[in-house]
Amino acid sequence: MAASPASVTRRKPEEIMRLERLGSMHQSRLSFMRILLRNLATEKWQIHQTLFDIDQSGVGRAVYTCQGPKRSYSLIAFAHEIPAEKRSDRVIAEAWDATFCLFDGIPLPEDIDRLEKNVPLQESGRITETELCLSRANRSVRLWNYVVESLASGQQPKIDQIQKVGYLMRTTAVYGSGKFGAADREILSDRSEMKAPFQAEMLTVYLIRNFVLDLVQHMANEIGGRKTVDLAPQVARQLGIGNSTGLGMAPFIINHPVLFNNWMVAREEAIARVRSIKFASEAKVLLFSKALKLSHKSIATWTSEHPVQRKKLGALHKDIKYLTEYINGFNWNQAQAWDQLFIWAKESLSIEGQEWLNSLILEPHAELVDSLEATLADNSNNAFCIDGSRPVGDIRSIIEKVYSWALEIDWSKSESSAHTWYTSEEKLEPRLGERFTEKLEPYERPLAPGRDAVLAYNDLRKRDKNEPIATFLLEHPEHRHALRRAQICNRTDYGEIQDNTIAANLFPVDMLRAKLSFFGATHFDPRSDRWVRITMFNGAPYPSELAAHYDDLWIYQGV
Amino acid sequence: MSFSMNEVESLSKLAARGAGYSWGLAEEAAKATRWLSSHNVDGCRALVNVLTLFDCTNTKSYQLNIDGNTWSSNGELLCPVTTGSYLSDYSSLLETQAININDLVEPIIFLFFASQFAKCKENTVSLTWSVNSVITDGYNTAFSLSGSKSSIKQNVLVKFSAEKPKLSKLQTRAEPQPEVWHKLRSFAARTYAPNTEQSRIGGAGAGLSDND
Repeated sequence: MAASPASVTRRKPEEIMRLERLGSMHQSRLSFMRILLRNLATEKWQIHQTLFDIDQSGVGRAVYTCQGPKRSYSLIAFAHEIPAEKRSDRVIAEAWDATFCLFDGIPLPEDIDRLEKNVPLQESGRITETELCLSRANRSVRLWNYVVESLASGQQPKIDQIQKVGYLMRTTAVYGSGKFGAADREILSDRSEMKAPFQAEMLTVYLIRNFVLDLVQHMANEIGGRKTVDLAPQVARQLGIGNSTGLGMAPFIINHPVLFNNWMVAREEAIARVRSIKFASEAKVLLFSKALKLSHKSIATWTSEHPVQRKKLGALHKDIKYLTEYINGFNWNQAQAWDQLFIWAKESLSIEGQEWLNSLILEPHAELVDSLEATLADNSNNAFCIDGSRPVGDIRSIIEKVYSWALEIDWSKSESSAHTWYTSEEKLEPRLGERFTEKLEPYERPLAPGRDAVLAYNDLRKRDKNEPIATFLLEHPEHRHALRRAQICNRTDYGEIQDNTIAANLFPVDMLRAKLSFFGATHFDPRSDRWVRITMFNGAPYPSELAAHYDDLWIYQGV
Repeated sequence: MSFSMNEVESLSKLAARGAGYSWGLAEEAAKATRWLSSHNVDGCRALVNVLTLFDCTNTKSYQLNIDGNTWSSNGELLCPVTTGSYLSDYSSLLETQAININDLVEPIIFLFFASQFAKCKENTVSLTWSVNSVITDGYNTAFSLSGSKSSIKQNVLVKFSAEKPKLSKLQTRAEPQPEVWHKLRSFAARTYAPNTEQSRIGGAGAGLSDND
């Protein structure tokens, strides 16, 4: 097999950076969960439960320590008993079934005592520089009691019941990067195991999964005594961690254009490399066929009640059938067979199906894809500075190039700016309001880059083209944010979503899905247009299984 | 209480926005506050002083006037965020001669912008005002501050310097006084929309059951 990276170029941003496509993205080898487990397995990290002090009612504390070649990290878990009416995934909740933090190193008893006073309070508590993440989770009412009762009565839970939900607990937030007093991202960014994005957050969730397994077994043992059976490993494997994500996550991909660009470039580069392969080897085709079969099974268990996702899933099921038939007669011996498959998919499959296949063709090509994980982080320190010496004429040209899509929108129409992004006084979380019926405009956040670039452009057109923008900005500080952004996005092909993020027909879950797919989430289940449920780590090996036999295709082996 | 630098920057941005600065300038103010905090200077207090003075004023009445190598305000005061942003954006003036800046509020905030400018120019810049002086090359900064590190309204001399600052040891946490942090929070609170039932239900998109 030979790869010639230059022969097929990356897809154009104007094709990729559309919300409809970003909202159809799937996990891939470059997803952060997969990077984490790959590295934990390769570096032979050892993970052990070092404390499990939980009482009969399921209340107490536990610690899981993860020891690597240079450093260790510990999940500190607090299990609680809460009344059913207090259980809510919404950010307005004030009590949870379990709360967690990721500790940098091995905690002393006094650290755990200090954290027990703060972690259960979540946003109302304080953590410190020795803590990297703060999180909480709620039981799945549907599955938790069923599994406890099954095990306690000596029965394994039925796999179809497990598949209906996919997790025993779902997290409703995983905070990192200095939030609520935690260590800043910069403290971690030089550590090899934390270089890829969100590794601390992914490790937190992975360790939570282990804790949840131990907790459910503990509760079954308490009830069933000697009758109780241990949850079978093949059943346990199917259990991931659920997650409910709301609008809090949506602004992230707008607020971090360089970072998001790097993620998109890495994935597009990976796709281009595979398309550039001159001849597909038999071994790679076999591996692809295996991943295809496994993925088909996994997608069969993906359900949603939301009409938008139901429609996309219907199309995806047809696409899988169509692709499977097409592959049967496909000539793998033709030149650039992977590219031929890509071209066929582009003409034949739905956008959801295309992006699913684009992730799948990366699977057999670890040697071309995995090294791109080093390019995912944002290490640019100078992106923030504005080059004020650039003349007005140059900046107008940049806006015409980067925001051509926005210049084509008729912003005088109410449907073009129907929404307003704002932050509520109540929970300090991003929300989306109706511009023309709610009095929210004074509180608007700068999350409509297209509109703001056009507003700046209209004022720039009134100025001499040779004037430096530094003097323009002195008179027009209101355009400073937009012009900084235009300069950043001019240097990054995929930094800007090329769609209107305040349009009447905006489906905000598209923004959540784009980010969550890079995390490695599966089974996207929008619960409204503004929040989505996903599953994480289903099918993943547990810590004790990591070193012995690590299969990179675990992601397709969960429900 | 100790705060992360991310907390300092996030709150400072909202505080500056709450005091009437544009989002773009609020971002500059936040970066400056974070940078000062990491250099063990009470950036939060300096920012509170600036925001209190310029609170919701029409910044145009404090417009920067440039007359040769003298920068001054067409009001009584010059804002360090606006003036500093202009310096870090663009100043061919300093290529050839020093700049005198008159009536600059909290020169220490302006220092952040001088450091960015120095980094961009790959040179060392010195700032002197009253009995204080600072040199910075954008990577390292040496302070010689007498008395209060923060001071209201000073005449400041900015020029290139042949000196090289020693390696700076950076802080990873900030410990602003509670009343300073509280004041920043009060400014920031102006950017939050009052809660309504419509926003509680619709704004976050309630939808299907979340307890199943």
